[in-house]
Amino acid sequence: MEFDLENPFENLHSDAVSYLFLIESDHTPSQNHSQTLKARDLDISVRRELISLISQLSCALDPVLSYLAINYLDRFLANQGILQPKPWVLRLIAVSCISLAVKMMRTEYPFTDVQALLNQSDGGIIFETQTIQRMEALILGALQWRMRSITPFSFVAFFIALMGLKDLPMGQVLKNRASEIIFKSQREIRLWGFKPSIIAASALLCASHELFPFQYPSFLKAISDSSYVNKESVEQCYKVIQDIAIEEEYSSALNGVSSSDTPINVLDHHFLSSESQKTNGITVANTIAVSSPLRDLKRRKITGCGCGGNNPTIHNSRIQFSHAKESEK
Amino acid sequence: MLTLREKYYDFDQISSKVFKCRRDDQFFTMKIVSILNEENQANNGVPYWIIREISILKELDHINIVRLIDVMTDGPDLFLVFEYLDNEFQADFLKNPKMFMYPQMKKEFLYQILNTVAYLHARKILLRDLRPENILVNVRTQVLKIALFGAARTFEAPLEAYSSSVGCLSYRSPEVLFQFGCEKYSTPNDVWAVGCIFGEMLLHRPLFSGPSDVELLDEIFTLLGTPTEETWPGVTSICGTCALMGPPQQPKDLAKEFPMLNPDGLDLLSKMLCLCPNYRISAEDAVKHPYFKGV
Repeated sequence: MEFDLENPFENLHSDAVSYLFLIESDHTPSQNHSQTLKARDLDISVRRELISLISQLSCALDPVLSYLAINYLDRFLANQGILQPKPWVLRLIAVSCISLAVKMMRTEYPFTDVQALLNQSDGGIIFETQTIQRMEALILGALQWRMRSITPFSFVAFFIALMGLKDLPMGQVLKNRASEIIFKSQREIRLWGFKPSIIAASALLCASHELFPFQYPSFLKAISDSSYVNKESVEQCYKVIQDIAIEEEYSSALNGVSSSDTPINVLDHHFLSSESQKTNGITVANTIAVSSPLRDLKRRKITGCGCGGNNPTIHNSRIQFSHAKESEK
Repeated sequence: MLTLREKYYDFDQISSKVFKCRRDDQFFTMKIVSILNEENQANNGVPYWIIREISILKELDHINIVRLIDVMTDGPDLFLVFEYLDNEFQADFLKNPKMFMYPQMKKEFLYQILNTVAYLHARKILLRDLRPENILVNVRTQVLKIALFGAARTFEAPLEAYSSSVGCLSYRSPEVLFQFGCEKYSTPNDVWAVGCIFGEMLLHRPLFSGPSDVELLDEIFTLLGTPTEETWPGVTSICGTCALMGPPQQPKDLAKEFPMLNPDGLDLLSKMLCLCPNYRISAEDAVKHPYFKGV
């Protein structure tokens, strides 16, 4: 037996759609746990430290793998807190979450390479096999061995199809930007309790509002009309994600280019490079998405011309980028 | 948290690593899986195939699937607790002679198998290894149970270890046999396996039983005809060497091969055993086929 984690809606079985929306709560820290966690400041700081650790250790791997590992961490924390937040315990938890994520994904990485990576001498700690196995077993038990985590990525393609953008370049651009938003917002404790489908819908709306503001109203309607989505939850989640994006732009403006050592930037870099390799034609969009000045420039240009239709928009985006390049020379 | 022996009791050994046990007034089947003695995965914690298999089983809740109820760990051992199937459930259902006396029972069981496969496919779960040995039936209640590696087979070896088994080959689809070695399974392969089981229910013997992929393909083409670009677009690119195709053969008349089957049954069987995976009927459509009217 096996299942496809990344494309659960490949054939869009109506039964499959209902099923994933039905069970996604089982793979998300519940609302109650979210409130409980917020009451424990220690766990919040521990979570932040663990996420940073996971991002460091898995920066050479697929970003989706890192996302899955953090999902396991969140579900583990929701089930039971960490009684002894000692450095080696935190590292063991991080290593074990990554190890479990590697095993669940149909990854091409040889196990020995992953093991060597996880045991790199960054912290100077090397765990014995039995130690990792015990921690893995502990985490598996806490998660009731339900490791097929339903993440926002499971729903992105579905919503893009709802927006009528399936197989269109515009859909790919939106998907890339939404994925980036999903990756970055995972660290935010405020998103705990939102279902993966809500996060996916909100991230796509944020991406469309940012990249294609004229089409935004029709996209919003397409998603709101879906019987699988609670409109109110999307609005709340959308606001949180927008706040996160604003805070992020602010902090990145403060840090400037010199903060390339932080895990966030390392993850960004890997995300961009891997995506660039996959979709050569969409590199421009990703570049624009990351650079604030260029983004502002692009936004001003778009408001100036009343363009309609999907392809003309893509075309204009490229032209504007060329203009920006020429004006710099 | 209760320990193993506090939670379950009255252990009764069934086989080397399988026990019947009890909790309150309910019986369970418990399987022991050792997770430290794996040669392949000795240095990587809990083996990935165990995590994947259990993760899938935990998702499933269907009357025709043997249910995994609990998972407990104790040092190097894993204890899988399944629903208990009493003696009325007989393993390898095609060896049960009572099967052949009741044509309606065949239809009922076939429907339950297809319903289960459709349920799994809707959840993007592939069986890959469906065969009579994995199926248990209760003739009295006419309830069928598919043991997804939980009851009929242990977790003591990864899936790959079964790839060379003769029993497995009999239910492999032509597209899988063509690409033997690179396992690119998909949902049509499961439907093909059900088609083979359907044929076996009718003939009282395996539909295809060659010991190798070449011989199996020859048997398949003898019955269903050698595929062409017309009947299976893209087949020449899939077929690694022309040798696997053999000399061109014409399909036999299924009505003469299966005289006991009515036209609806023949139609369903031919669609499940369609050579081209893209044209093969899906499990979702198969359960709605006219053959099952009245089930």
